[in-house]
Amino acid sequence: MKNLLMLSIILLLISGCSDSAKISIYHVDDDQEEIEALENVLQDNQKLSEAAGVFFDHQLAVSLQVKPMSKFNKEKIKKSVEKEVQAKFPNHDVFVSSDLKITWELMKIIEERPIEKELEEDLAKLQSLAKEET
Amino acid sequence: MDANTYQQTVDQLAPKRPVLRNCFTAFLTGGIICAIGQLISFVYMYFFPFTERTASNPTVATMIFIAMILTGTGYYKKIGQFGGAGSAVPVTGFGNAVISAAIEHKSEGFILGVGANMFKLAGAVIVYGVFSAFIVTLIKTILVNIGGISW
Repeated sequence: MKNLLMLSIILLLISGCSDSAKISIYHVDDDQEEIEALENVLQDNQKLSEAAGVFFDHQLAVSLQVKPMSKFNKEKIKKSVEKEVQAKFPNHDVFVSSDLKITWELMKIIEERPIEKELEEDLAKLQSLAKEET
Repeated sequence: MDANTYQQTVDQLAPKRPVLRNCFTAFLTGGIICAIGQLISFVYMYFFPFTERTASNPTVATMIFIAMILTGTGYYKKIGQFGGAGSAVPVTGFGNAVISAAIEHKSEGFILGVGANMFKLAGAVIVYGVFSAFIVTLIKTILVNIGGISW
């Protein structure tokens, strides 16, 4: 029992210390160049722990989760990533969020890979969700 | 017997307070309550259209509601006896303070008893909650304007 506990603690510590961010991206038209460009931007940021992105018809929705100690500067990190992504994709309507709910919803979209009409509705819903204050 | 010797006698005779043990149980109880709150907030975010920012309101309401039911049924008293401040400091302590005062003064009638005394304890929480929120906002406004942090 004690060994099992020690093993689980060590495993948790090791998995918690993993450095690279978990990134998943979905492109409706499967444009590898754009996917790679976004992946590079997100991978370069050392403070991210998880990120998801969805490309759709000149729209780009990105959500990010920051590492625990960087949570105090979450808004700042979000703004800097938003600037970087906007500079990389000037033709796209970029939407960046650091909210956990948005990350979950984007992950759902990436898993389900819905058809274009549904995707448009989902993304519109996400943006209105992110705007809500109370 | 003067005041000093009296105090010494009291110190000798009074049972020792298990401060470390109290700290631990308070930490454990408060931690468990907060973990339950986090879980409820995840439920609101996963199954309902709430974001991280908006999920906190229904979460607080749910936690207070649960604490009120537990107070009415008498279970919160047991949690309080075990956890001490750990059960009083989280928002559940507020629900407990409101309902326990209401139950206590029920015999004096619904208007002058329950209505007048319900916020006897919780009133202090509201007053100092609003006051400390004001102070914290003031400090944060100054810090944001100076440029140290963002909202």
